[in-house]
Amino acid sequence: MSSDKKVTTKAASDSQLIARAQKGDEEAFASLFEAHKRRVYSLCLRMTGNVAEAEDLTQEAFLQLFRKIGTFRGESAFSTWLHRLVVNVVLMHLRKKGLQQVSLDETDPTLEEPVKRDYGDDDRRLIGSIDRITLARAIGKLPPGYRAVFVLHDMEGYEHNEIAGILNCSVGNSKSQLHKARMKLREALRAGRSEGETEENRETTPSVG
Amino acid sequence: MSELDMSTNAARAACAQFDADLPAFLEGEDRPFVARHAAECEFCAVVLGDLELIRSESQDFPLVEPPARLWTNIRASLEAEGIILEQKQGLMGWLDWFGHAGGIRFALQFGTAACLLLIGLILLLPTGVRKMHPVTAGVEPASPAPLGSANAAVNAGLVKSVSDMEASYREYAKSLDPMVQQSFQRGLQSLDDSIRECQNVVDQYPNDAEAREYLTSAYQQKAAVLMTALEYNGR
Repeated sequence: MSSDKKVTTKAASDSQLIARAQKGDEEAFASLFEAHKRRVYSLCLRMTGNVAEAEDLTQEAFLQLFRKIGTFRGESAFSTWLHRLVVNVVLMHLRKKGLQQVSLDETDPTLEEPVKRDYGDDDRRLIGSIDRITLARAIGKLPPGYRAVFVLHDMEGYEHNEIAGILNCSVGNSKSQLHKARMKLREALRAGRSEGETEENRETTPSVG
Repeated sequence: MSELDMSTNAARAACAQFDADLPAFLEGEDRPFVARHAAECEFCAVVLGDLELIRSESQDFPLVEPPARLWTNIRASLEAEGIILEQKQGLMGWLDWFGHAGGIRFALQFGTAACLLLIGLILLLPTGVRKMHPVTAGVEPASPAPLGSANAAVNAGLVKSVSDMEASYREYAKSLDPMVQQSFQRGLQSLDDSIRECQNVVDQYPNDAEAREYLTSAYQQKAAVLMTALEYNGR
C-alpha cells in the first residue's frame, strides 16, 4: 500500500471512529486511544522528561480529547487537533509546576548573551559516541523551556512561527532558545562522554600500592 | 603585542563571527562565512558537525509504548463521567477490558476464555449430570471467593497476595467515585463467581489438572483487576 493510500485510509478510519465516539461508543474510544497512544505518550515523555508525568499527562490529554470530541468538526486533521491539544496540556502542566520557563518569557534575543564556548577545548566530534538512549536522556535533562522548543522544532517538526504561537513568544525568541537548547545538549553529551571515558580508564588502569 | 597574539586574536574574532552566524546557518539562511570558517578551523568544524548530528539524530525518534494500565484508568473515568454511552457487552467487553489490564494480557485473555468455556461446557451437560455437578448447583451471590480451600490447588502465595490486595482494595474503594467503584466491583464479582465455580470443580475432582489451571488463571485475573483498581488514581 502506498503511503498516500495509507494516509487516506487512516483519515477515513479516524473519521468513522470519531463519528462513533461522538455517540459515546466505547469501542470507538478504545480504538482511537489505541491508534494514537504511542504518539501522544512519546510527545508527553519528551516534553516532560519524566515517565510518571508523561503517564498522567497522556491520561489527561485523552480525557480532554474524549470530553471535547463532540466539538470536533473536521476542519483540521484529527491528528493535528489532537497534537495541539496534547502540547497545550503539557505546557499548562509545566506552567503550573512553575519550573524554570526559559523560553516562555518574552525577551529580546538581540539583548541576550551569546552562547559561550571555549575555543580549542576539544577537537573530537560527538559522532560515534552518542546513541538514541544517551540523546533522549540528555534531552530529558534540558531545562523545560529549552526542552519544549527543542522537542517541538527538532523532534516534532513544528516551524518557529507555530512554536511562537504555542509558547506565546516571538519567532526570534524561539530561534534563539532552540540554538541554546542544541548547544546545551552538545555540552551535556560531551560531558557524558568524558565521564564515561574517565570511568573506563579507572577500570582499565591497575591500582598502585 | 606579539605576532602570535595578533594571530590568536584574529582567529578568535573569526570563531566569534562563526558563533554569531551559526544559528541562522542552521535555520537554512545563507551565511557563507560559516561553511568557509568551518573548513579552516577544526574546532568550529567540530561544533558544526556536532550540532548537525544532534539535529539529525533527533528526527524520527522511535515512539514509546505507554503502560497498559492507562486505558483502564481512562475507561473508568469515561464511564464515571457518563461519556461512554454504548458499552461492549458480555464476553467481548470483558476480553477487551482484560486486554488492557497489563503485561499478562495474553494469559488473561486466554484464562478468561478458558474459564468461560469450561463453565459453558458444564452448563451444556445433561440436566441429570448437572444436578450432580457442583458448578451448576447455583452460585452464591456477591461474597468473596472462599480462599482457604484454594490453598491445596493454587499456589499459596498467589492466594495470599489476592487476599491481601482485596483487603487493601476494600479500604481504597471507599475513596473511589461510586460509578468507578461499581465498575470494578462488577469485574471482581464476576471473577469471584468464576473462582468459586472452578474451586467447586477442583473440590469435586481433585486430580483434574485442567480445573486447577483454570482456578489459578481466575486468581491471576483477580490479582490483575485488583492491581489495576489499586493503581487507579481517579483522574
